[in-house]
Amino acid sequence: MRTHVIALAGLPNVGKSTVFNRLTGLHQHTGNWTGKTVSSARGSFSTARRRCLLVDVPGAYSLAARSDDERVARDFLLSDEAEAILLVCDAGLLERNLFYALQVLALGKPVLLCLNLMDEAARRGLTLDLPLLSERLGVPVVGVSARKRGSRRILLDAIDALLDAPRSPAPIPLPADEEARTAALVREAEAICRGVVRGRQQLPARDRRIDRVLTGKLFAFPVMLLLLALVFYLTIAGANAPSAFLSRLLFSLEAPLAAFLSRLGLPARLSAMLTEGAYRTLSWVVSVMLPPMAIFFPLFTLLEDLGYLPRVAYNLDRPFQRCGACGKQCLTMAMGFGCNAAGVTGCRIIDSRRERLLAVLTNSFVPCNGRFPLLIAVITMFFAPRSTLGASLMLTGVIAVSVLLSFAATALLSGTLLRGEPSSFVLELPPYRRPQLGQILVRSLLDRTLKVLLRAAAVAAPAGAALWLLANTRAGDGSLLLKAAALLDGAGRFLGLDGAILLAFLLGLPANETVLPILLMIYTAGGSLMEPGALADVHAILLQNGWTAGTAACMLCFTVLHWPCSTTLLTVKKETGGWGWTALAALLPTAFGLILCKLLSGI
Amino acid sequence: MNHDLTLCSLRPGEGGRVRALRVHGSMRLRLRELGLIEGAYLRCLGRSPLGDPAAYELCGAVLALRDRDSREIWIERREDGNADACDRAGGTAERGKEHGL
Repeated sequence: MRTHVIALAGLPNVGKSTVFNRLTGLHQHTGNWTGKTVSSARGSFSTARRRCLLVDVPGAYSLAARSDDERVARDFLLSDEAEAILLVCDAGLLERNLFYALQVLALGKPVLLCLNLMDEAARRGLTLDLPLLSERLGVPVVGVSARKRGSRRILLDAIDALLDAPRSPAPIPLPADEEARTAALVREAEAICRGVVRGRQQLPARDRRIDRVLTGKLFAFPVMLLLLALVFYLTIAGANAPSAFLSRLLFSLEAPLAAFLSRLGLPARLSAMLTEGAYRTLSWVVSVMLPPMAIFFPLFTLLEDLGYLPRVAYNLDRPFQRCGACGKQCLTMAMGFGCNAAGVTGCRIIDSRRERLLAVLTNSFVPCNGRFPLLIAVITMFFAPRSTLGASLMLTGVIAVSVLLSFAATALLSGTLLRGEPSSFVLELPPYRRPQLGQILVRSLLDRTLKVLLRAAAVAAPAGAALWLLANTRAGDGSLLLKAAALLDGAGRFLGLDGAILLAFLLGLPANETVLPILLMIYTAGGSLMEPGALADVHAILLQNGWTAGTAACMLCFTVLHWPCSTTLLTVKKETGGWGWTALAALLPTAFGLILCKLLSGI
Repeated sequence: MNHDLTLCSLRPGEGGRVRALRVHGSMRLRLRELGLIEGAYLRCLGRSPLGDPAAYELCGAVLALRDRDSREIWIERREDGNADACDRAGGTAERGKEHGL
């Protein structure tokens, strides 16, 4: 039985992804359009009579193909692969949606027009004459609220009906000149809506009231800071127990693994490298990385689905404008708190290439989840040993400084290498909508968390093996590892650190979570990563090796300002397409870090 | 009684009808696609806490525009329109009028 390929198109914020999820459920995956950095989601579903593949086309305001998103959308809609188009429109904003809809209809493919958010339209006091609309447009029209489960059956039946008797709408003659074409489409949309939409639209007063608070002078910033602090708190506090549990579980599997490998007849050294090196490092990274991300990303997606994030971009646009960047950069920075690689990928929401580069290159200035444990540990040990509140405040301070430095770096780049005019910036503030919790969990866990985790695992295991080799290969009177630390000692002390710390950061390139364990490994001249232990023990080891409050301060500074992890660097390469930019992404935070550490060490 | 005003000068709660778009290039096309054309009615909903950008209601949707852009949109201040629906007085402008600006 052949699979029918259906393109899913529509403006942004019409609930297209709700329709997508309603139809495809869990049978979906996200990827990229070949050769582009625009993401594409494909999912399969079955109607009563057919198997279908639904391809989510990027939401755009028109098919004029001025941005990557629009180009990809138009190319796919026109392609032979797309058999029919499921066009989703916001029933409450019909005229605006028709502007886009008419362009899609003009492509000459069979179209099913799905008016979504019918419940919202009803609440706004609007009634729609669907048969009249269908008659005027020449395509079948269904009205649904994709939020409701019953919408699935309606859509499936309508799709079957369309594929039974596919008819292409009659083409509307449109002028070639872009301005005249826009005017003609607007006039046409207006004419079609007259009589179809009835009732005086009542202002969504609730949204306006909420916005007056969330974007008002008094509460906007406090609310943002509070929400950020809350997200951090939930992430850090909520991850503690699961991390401890995971690490105990994974470490307990190490011995059986070693036994298994020796039964296979592997030489002892190789077996040790694989278990104590590769597997142990992998366990460490997974147990430290997974729980915070599994909390942070769903929370972030929740705010996104609520509609709050555009308000944040709106509130913070001005300072970004001053630095020559785009307000949306604050959203990519927020994502960077979870994972810098995810933050870099998230920079796709910025249209202008110059501004996107600014966001990509400065994303690592913001510490990711992987660096939080290190920051918290150092702060707790050296600056606030008895007060959790004091430690939290200091952490917030460190993060605030990192954000300020991120602005400084953006301004610097924007004044030198990435000079240019601020791009056209139109931000739509969509209505607040109830987030779909189930979908959020699935999307953020599968898409963001799992993908990042797999990438990290792929790097952590071989890195762990290499680390083990370094620590267990004799070179003179010590291991290669200790020799390397000694070599770097001069440079390290110059910066207020020491050789072991520098080496730990260098070897921590695959994953920031490993920096502290590697450091302890060097200090204790151990052959492998230690079992996670009590903070007091760690403190003792650090003090024994000459740490002072000054060292701790420089440590904090360098933790925030050093080269991004390898996953992030690879992502930068993928998103920017050039090794030059990738090198800059590594050099920029490092340069800041070296200078600031030197300054701090002088104090 | 036409007061030559820019969109930028509307205070929260005030509305007006677009008379001319002195924006060019992709920004111009983007704005027109969103419904910001001659005759369209907009209402200023408020300003960002740091003063820029400002939020405007147009065609039932809320758009945020930076001052550097809204300064190039000339309007006539009116209170007799609806920003919560697509309200366009006198239809859309002819090409000649646009090119004359």
